[in-house]
Amino acid sequence: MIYLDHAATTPVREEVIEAMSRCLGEQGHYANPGSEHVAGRQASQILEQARERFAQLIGAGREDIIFCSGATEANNMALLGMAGFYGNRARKLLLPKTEHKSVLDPCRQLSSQGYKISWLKLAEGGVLTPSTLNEALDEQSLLATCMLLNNETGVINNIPQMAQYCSEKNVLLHSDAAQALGKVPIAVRRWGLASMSFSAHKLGGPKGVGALYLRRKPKVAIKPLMFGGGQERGLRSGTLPLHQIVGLVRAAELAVAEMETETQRLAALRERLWAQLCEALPDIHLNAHSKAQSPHILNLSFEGVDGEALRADLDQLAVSSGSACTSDHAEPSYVLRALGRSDALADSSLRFSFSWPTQQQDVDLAAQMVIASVKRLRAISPSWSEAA
Amino acid sequence: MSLYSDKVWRLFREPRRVGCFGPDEEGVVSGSATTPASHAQLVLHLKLAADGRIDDALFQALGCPSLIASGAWLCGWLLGRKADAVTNLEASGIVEQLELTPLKRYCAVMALDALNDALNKHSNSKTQGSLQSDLETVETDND
Repeated sequence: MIYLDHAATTPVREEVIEAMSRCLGEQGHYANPGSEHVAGRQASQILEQARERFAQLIGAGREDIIFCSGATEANNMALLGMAGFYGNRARKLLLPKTEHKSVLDPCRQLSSQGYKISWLKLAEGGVLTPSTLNEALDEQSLLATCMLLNNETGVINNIPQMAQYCSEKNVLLHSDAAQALGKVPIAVRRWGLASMSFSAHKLGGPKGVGALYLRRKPKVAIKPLMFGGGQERGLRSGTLPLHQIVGLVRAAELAVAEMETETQRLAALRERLWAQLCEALPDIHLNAHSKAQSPHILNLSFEGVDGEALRADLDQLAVSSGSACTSDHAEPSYVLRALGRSDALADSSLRFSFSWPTQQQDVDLAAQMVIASVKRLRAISPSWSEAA
Repeated sequence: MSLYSDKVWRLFREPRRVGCFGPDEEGVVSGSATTPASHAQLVLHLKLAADGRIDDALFQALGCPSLIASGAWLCGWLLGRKADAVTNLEASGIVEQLELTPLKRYCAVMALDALNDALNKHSNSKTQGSLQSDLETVETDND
């Protein structure tokens, strides 16, 4: 099995497992960081060190960080929380259709409560140009949200410029950076946005933990979604899972430390895969903006093949497809449709995504497998006549 | 857990009878079926002997593994049968043979639609052929 689905999730790095293990066993820091006894205070100290370290990695202060269960929760917490707190100020939400469902669905939820969604038009390749956002901002605008790095296409958006436009017009800007940490330099305070979401399992950390950056100066407030013990300054109650948080921070540390070399290496792998496929197969389409692309994601559509058949034929290659499969049907990716792809091309897409374990031989084998499958399926197709 | 039955999987991975006949081959009739909802296509090519026996059958498909398997299975089943004796095949027969899930029943229906399209074309061409020969006979008689 060749695993090129690291944008879906990554294995947990050995260094991370080791750091997490130190917080789990009887001899480890397993105590509740909220407890007053010595073991609890030790756990709390480790927690605060982890918070400080994570804040440094994203250019924030430790008081800006709220740990939670992942980017889905962080997105919900930011969007519903800011709307809950500032909802009497304005009621318009601005976003592109290519956002992750954990952003779209909270916004739809708000829309059912009377908020108005303003969909931002994308430029070619799925990029949201900051000027498009700027032109759409008005007195009714409460908040805007845009991914830093799109999970399906790998497109990178200019969040610093968007943040500047938003602060000029007193609009809150949220950004989902679940895919971006360790791939793109992040400096949240300098950028000046209101909030940003992070996840551990996209960068070699464990599933079930993430963080929300919520700006303290000038302060951005949220109405909490979770009530209970008052952890995380009352904004996210629930016993803090120290081993998970330590795992998140260790994974982020490694990813940021290796970012410069890894992004170059992964971009070279992506180019290698793209070149091999292009050379062997006519009529394939890049689903991204070629100049604003993440080093670790390559999303392609293949003309003349059925998506389900392609995915079935590639059963030894773990990649994501352009279909959102549910138990009873598969529908073409809404992200690729927002980029203007037909249903057929959105359906016949594959997303290859890399991370630190990915090696050249993985990419070469994947290319061979995809080339063989596409050629085989095109040879069966009645509508395909390959150029000589 | 596999999404497909063993039969579908085998016929998808190693489909027999893929392709079409040459333009000069005689007795060839083709039928097709599409479904806009899943942008699938199935084309069936039959080579019929003078006595109406299906001497050869080939298919082409753009679609899911179950559609490819349906085309391949149908071609194998049609071989050696008389054209007028295959009209009693029902979609449920293909569903049963390939153990298709209810969601993939449309693949069996498409296979039958393509077959019926081909058979209709065949019987139309026979009718036209006999009309043509009747006319020729009349003309000959008049001469």
